[in-house]
Order: sequence, then C-alpha cells, then structure tokens
Amino acid sequence: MAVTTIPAEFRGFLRRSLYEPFLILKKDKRALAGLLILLFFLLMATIGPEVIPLDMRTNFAERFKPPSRAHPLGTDYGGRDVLAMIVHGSRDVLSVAFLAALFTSLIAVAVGMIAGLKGGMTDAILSLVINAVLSVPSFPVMLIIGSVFKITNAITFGAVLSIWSWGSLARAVRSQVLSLKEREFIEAARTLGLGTFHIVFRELLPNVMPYIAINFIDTMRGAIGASVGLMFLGLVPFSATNWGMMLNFAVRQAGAIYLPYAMAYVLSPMAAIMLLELGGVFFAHGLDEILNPRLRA
Amino acid sequence: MVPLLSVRDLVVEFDLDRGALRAVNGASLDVQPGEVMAVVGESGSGKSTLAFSILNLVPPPGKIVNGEILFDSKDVLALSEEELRQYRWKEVAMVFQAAQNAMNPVMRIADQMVDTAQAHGKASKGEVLEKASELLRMVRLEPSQVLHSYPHELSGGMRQRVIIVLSLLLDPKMLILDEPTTALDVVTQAYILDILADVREKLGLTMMLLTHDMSIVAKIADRVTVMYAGRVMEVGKIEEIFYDAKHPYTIGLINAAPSLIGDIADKKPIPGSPPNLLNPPPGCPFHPRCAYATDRCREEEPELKEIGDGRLVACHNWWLINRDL
Amino acid sequence: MTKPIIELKDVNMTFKRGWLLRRAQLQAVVKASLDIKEGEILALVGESGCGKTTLGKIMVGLLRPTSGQVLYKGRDIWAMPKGEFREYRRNAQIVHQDSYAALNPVRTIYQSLSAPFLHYHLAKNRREAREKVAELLELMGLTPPEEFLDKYPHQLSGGQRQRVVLARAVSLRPKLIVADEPVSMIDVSLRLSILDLMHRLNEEFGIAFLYITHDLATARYFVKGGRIAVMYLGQLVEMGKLGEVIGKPRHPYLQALLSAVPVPDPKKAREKRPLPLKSLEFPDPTKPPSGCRFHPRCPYAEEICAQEVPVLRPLDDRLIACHLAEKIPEWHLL
Repeated sequence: MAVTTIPAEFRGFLRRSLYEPFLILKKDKRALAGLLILLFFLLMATIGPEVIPLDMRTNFAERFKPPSRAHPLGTDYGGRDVLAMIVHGSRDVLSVAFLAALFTSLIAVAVGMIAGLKGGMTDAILSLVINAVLSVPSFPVMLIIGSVFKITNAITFGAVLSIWSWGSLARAVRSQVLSLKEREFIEAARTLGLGTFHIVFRELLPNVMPYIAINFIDTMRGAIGASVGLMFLGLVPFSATNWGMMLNFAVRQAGAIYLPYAMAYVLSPMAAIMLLELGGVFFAHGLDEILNPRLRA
Repeated sequence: MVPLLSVRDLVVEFDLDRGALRAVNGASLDVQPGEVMAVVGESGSGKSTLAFSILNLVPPPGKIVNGEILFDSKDVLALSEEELRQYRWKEVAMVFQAAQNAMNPVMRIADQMVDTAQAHGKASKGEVLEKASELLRMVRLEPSQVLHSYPHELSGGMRQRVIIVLSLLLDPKMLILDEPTTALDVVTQAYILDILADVREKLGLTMMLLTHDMSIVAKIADRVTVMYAGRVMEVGKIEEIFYDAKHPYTIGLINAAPSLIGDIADKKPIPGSPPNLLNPPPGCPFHPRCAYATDRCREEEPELKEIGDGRLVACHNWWLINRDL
Repeated sequence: MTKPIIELKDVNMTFKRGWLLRRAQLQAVVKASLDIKEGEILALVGESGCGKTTLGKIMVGLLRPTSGQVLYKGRDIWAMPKGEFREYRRNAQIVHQDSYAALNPVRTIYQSLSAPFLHYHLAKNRREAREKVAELLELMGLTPPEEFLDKYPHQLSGGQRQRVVLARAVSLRPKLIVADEPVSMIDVSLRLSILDLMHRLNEEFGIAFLYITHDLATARYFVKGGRIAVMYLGQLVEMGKLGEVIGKPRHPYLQALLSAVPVPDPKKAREKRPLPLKSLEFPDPTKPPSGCRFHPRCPYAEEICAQEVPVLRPLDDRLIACHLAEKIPEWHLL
C-alpha cells in the first residue's frame, strides 16, 4: 500500500514541518519579519565576529564620534567602534540569554508537570515552592548565588540567571497540565494502558511546548536585563561588549546622554535589545500558528 | 392569507480567510400568522443564520448579500437603526440556543426583566414587573419565587421558561426559538413543549421553531420547512411531511430518526457526510448522498417549486421518489 | 449461560467537594449491582446527572468506587496484581461523547492510533504500525485511509472523528467497550451509521457494549435483543430485556420517562399525554431525598418509600427497585 511506506510518511512529515509553516509565514508578514530579524541576530552572533574585526584599543581622540562611514554607529567613550562592539557582544549576550531561557524552561516544565500530574501533597509542596520563588524578588537571590558560586562561563552564568526565574512559567505549565489531565484523550490513554511515560512525553508535553516556545524570547529578554545587573555589580567577569553593559556605561559612566552627537552610542545597544525583542514578539505570533495545528486548519 | 413573514432568495455569506462560506444560499420561506413553523436542518443547514437574518443580527464576518425579508409587509433589511430597535423584541423576538446559560449571573431575574424591557422602549418598573408576573404564571412559574432569584438558583427548566418570558415581555408578534429544549431532560422537555403550545394559544403567537429533532417537530409543529446546505428543500404541512414526504433528504431524515415505536428495521442512516459549505458540489447540494441522483442533479440546481397549496419541493425527480424504496 | 465479563456488586461512589466548612458530599452511585456477559449489549439509560457516566467510568477502572466490588472475570480489579490489572485494562475501553476532546489535538490520527500498537509491540516497526492503522481505519469505514492518517482531529468532521475514537477503542480487541453518549454530538442523519458500525463490531468480534445514553430511542435501536438498565439519581431502578422493559415498564419513573419521550409521528406524538408527576424539579444531588430517591415526584409514593432505600429485586421477567412494584398500575407504550 502506497500510504504506509515510510517515504510517504516522511513526505507528510516534511510537508507539515516545512512547507506548511512556510505558507503560514508567507501569509503572516509580521511573523516573517520577526523570523528574519531573529535570523539576522543569529547570523550576527555566529559569523558576525569573523566578518567585523574588533579593536578594543582606546583612542580617546576618536571618542563619541557620530555615525560615519568608518564607524556606522559611531564610537564609544574610548573611541572604539560601536558596531563592532555590538556584533562581538551579541555572541555572549545571546548565548547566555539562550542558556538561561533553556534552563528556565526545563525547570519550569519539570516542576509544573510534576505538580500538575501528581496532585495532592506533592502539588501542595511544589506550589508552595513556586509561590516562594515568585514572591521573593529574583535579583537579590541571583546576587547572593552569584557571589557564592563563581560565574566563570556562559553555562554557569545561564544557570545562575535561571535559578530563580522559572516561577511564572512553572505556574502556567501547572495550570495547563491540571486542565489537560482531566481531558478525555488522557482518560483514553489511561484505559489503553499506555503508561505514565507515554502520557507525559507524548500526550501532555506536545500540548505544553507551544506555550514554552512562545515565551522563550521573552525569557531571554529578562535574562539579558538580569545579566547586566550582575555584571554591573562585579559578580560576573566584566565584558565591555555586553549590550547591557554598554548601555549602562553610556548612560551612567560616560555621560554620553548629555552629548547629542553621541546619540548613536547610547541608542545602539538599546536598539539591539529592542530589535531582538521585537523580532521575538513578531515571530511568536506565527510560531503559535505553526505549533498549534488547530490554528492552521 | 398574507404571510406574517416572507423571506425570498436570501443569501448570507461569511468572509473567512479560506474563502467565502455561503451559510444561506437562496432560501425562501413564508410563515403564516398564528402558525408554528418548524425549520428542520442539521449542521450546515443554515437555519440559525436564517433566523439571525430575520432579526438582521448576522454577526460579522457574515453579510446578507442578497434577498428580501418582509415582516408584516415591512422591508426588514431596509430599516434604519432606530426602526430596527423598535422591530427587534417588539415585533420579533428570539430565544437563542442555550440561552438559559447566557443570563447575567449577578443580576436578579426581576432586574433582567426590567433591563430588557426598558432597553427597547420606555416603561415603568412597575408595569414591566406586572407584565412579567402575568407571563410567569402563564409558563407555570410562581412570580414571587422566581423574580427575586438569581439565575443559578433556578433549575435548567425554570431558566428556560424565564428566557421565554423575557422574550415575550414586549408582546412580539412572532417568536423564534433555536433548539429550545436541547439541554433539558426528557420530562422537562415535554413540559416546555406543552407550555409553548399553551402560550401560543393564549397569546395568538406565531412561532418559528428551529430544530434537528424530528420528534419535537412531530409534537408541536403545524408546518415544516426542511433545509439543507443553506437551501430550502421541502415545505409542507406536518402530515404531508411525515406521511408523504417528497424530497429524498426529508425521507432520509425521517428514516434516520430512531423511535420508540415502529419497526427498527425501517430505520436507516443517510450515507455520506454533511455538506462542505466552502466548496459545495455543483448542482443539487444533496446529490452526493442521494440514492435517486441523476446526471441532471449533478449539474443543475433544482428550483423550489410549488406542487400544491403551500407545498414546495426543490428536487428534479420528486414525483419519481417512492418512499418505501 | 455465558459468564459475566464485568460485575458490579453493591458499588457506591461518593464525591467529596469543598473544604472544611463548605464540605458537600455527592453520592453519585448508590448500591449499584449489575453485570455484563460476554458479547452482550446493555443500555444504561437515565437523565443527565443520574450517575450513568460515573458508573461507566467505574466499570473501566477510571474511578475507584468508595465501596463495593468491581469484578473482571470474577476477580476484583482493585485487588489484582499489576500484570492481571494490565490485562483487564486492555480489555475494558471507553468511547466518549465529545470526539473532539477525546483526541489529542496536536497529534495526527496516525500518531494517536498507532500508540497502542507500538506500546504493546503488536507492530514491530513504523511501517507495520502504519499498515495496521490503515487496516483499522478501513474497518471503521474511513476510506481511503491515506486521507486520514496524517490529518489532525480538527480537520475531520464530527462523524469521522467519532469513528477514529471508536477505532482506537477497538484496536486492542477489548472484551468490553463502554460507550458514553457516542452519538449525541453527531448529526441525526449519521447517528445510525455509527450505531450500525458498533453493532457490527459486537457481532464480528464479540465485544460487549455498555451503551450509556439519555436517548431511549437510540437505545432501542442499538440494543435490539439485549438488556436495558434505567438509573435515577444514582440508583438503578429497573433492569431487564429491552423489549419487555420498554413495552411494559413497571417503575413509575420509567413510565413517566416513556410517556414524555416524543416520537417522530405527528398522530402518535399528539396522542401521548405525560404521566403526571408530583414535581417537575430534579432534586439537588447533594441533598437527595431519603429512602427511594424518586419518592417526592412519584404519584404512587407511600410512607415506606421515604424511609427505606429499595433494592433491585426480581419481579416476573425483570429486576425492579420499588417497594410497591406489584401495586403500580400497568402502563403500555401504545
């Protein structure tokens, strides 16, 4: 039978995962724009630093220069090219933010699912933990953890950033699981004896993933903000190319906001963060349609 | 007799991303004053959209793109906003599907009555409550018990009767009911149907009842309009429809409705699936499922023809159909 | 005399609601005893809220009764070792009313239907699983199967979805399927085709059915020569062969019910007059009447009815739960 061959199934799979999303993006211009922005940043982080060289030597004669052909985004307080700094900083910024969002999502899904599924005492305890995580402000906790455990690389940095930020995501996952748990298709899976593993990973998780994916970029943005704070307080090895750090310096230390011709220096890191967030928000809309088959019809 | 309601060639389209969906595709029907007209159809028949059109309440992205609706000789589709406000609820009122669950949960029944009445014209609170009490007694409810309650304090059957009273507050000439008994248990359903027959007699009301349940139709209707895929397939008096149906869909519907009496072996389903309204087949919309379909049926849309006094059929081969086949 | 597949003995199900001060108890099922034999069709009929769905879920082991026994092939399912329980599980399946909620919206039809085959190693690899699923779809009348395998539930019509749900229930060839209002959400013209399909499965594979519904007419169509059990507010009130119970109901509630059901025949429909009940209102399930739960509405009720809970006892050709069963006047459905 033609249909039952693996090539036929594979074709169907490709159709669902590549062709149809492509069609959705073609129709939803905003989502397409979002995807392009995100791809742009991805390129920037991966090959950008190879394409644009970074020269961190200070040259105070060139400081606060407005945008020109040599320096498309102007120069900073030390005469260094802002564009190069942004591009080079993107790698660290994005990888730390990505890792932080990844860890946050993993913890949130694990906690939310266990709490939602098990119910009873387990749920009561975990909900208490979630509430504690939500009520205690995350930044001071990160400070404490950051000062106790040395942050040495992107992974540890990401871990510290995620340790107190999974609260609201976990709560959302938990409520979704609570409602899904009683749904008829879960009951059917139980009568078929498919087992807890199947129910968790094959039935529930695919329903929860869209929510996680859509909130991923937002979680990343939160991580960028927090990373700046930790950096500023010296708990993380200082990096002049971190966008948040750049912004902080421009505004606070170098007084660049008082200099109209240094606008580019002030606005560039701000714009980079905002553009990334914008890309995420735009794409999230299309992502929802791609991941949720019901919206595709 | 001049019909109280007259619909001609009504076409209602819904503009969706995936295309234009014709919920009603050229429907015509007449309702005589004082009668109970049952409009029968399943999902996709267009009966609910038809009812909304009569009140000019088709929700966007739906639009009435063609047709004429005359109520009491007034052109409904040409009424202004202000005239529509006078028309809705005062001339024609509607009981929506599952309306019993759509009442404001934080308002007492008495307040909801006053609100509704005053939204459509000036009336004092006392006048409204007096009228409401009279109507409540007519539907066999005790006004003192019901008026001061909140909706959740009443049972499903009681709520449905309250909704009926709400719709009769302003003395409409016609009442449209969309599946009035679906969420109710059988005993309550029989009771509500009895009450509706009562009310209709006492108030001289004209009723249009939308349903998919042939049993309810058998109990309460005077005449029946059968709809399929947005079109009217057959119209006739109740005995004509049940004992002498001419359209294959009507015959199929009656044969597909299981009953407590009669031979089980006589019952059979209609093959095929409900019509695709986005991409309807050419010709008669029922032909993919019709045992009597001919080439003409696949190409040419049948017209709704009058074959007797008030007896209408939309089928090319109606005189060839033998019910017992 | 075939052995019963499933037996319920004096099953009670009480749900507790609320916290501390606002505790409320809902006794959804009261001392229910019934059995289903191999290959049998039993209809469980009652109004919404009477506990029939709860009883169905108890029968497939989704709910554990507060007291009483659930026996599969004579063994108490809640006392079984894991291996035996798994065998019971495979053999008791459920078909829900809402086909849309009964399928995982983010999994294709193939994914949903292949899960049991792969889990129980009835298919060794993906290719075999696909073949088996296609076979199953064809059995259910969903042809050509290619059209349905890679679609999502929302892309199918209601009738098609319900066939998929039925397919899933049948895939492991269970001994019993509990069908909870399987056709109430389907178009009238298509209902009988689903019921016919279920009947074929019963005849070809010897699958017993518990057909739960509020619609006596479809129960009559589906059950044919089987039995029917009537429930009211958690209590089983009458049980016996369908033809006899419906033709000559003995319990006042069933008489009232049958007199109220409309029929698709204008002359007969207008002849029927509903049996006068003392009250129209359904009692609050959390505050049920004492003794026989039907007594406040029963036109024949006497003192004993408010004091003692009647149990199902044999009377002539059936079982009935009524203290005054012998005195209830005869009532014929035409």
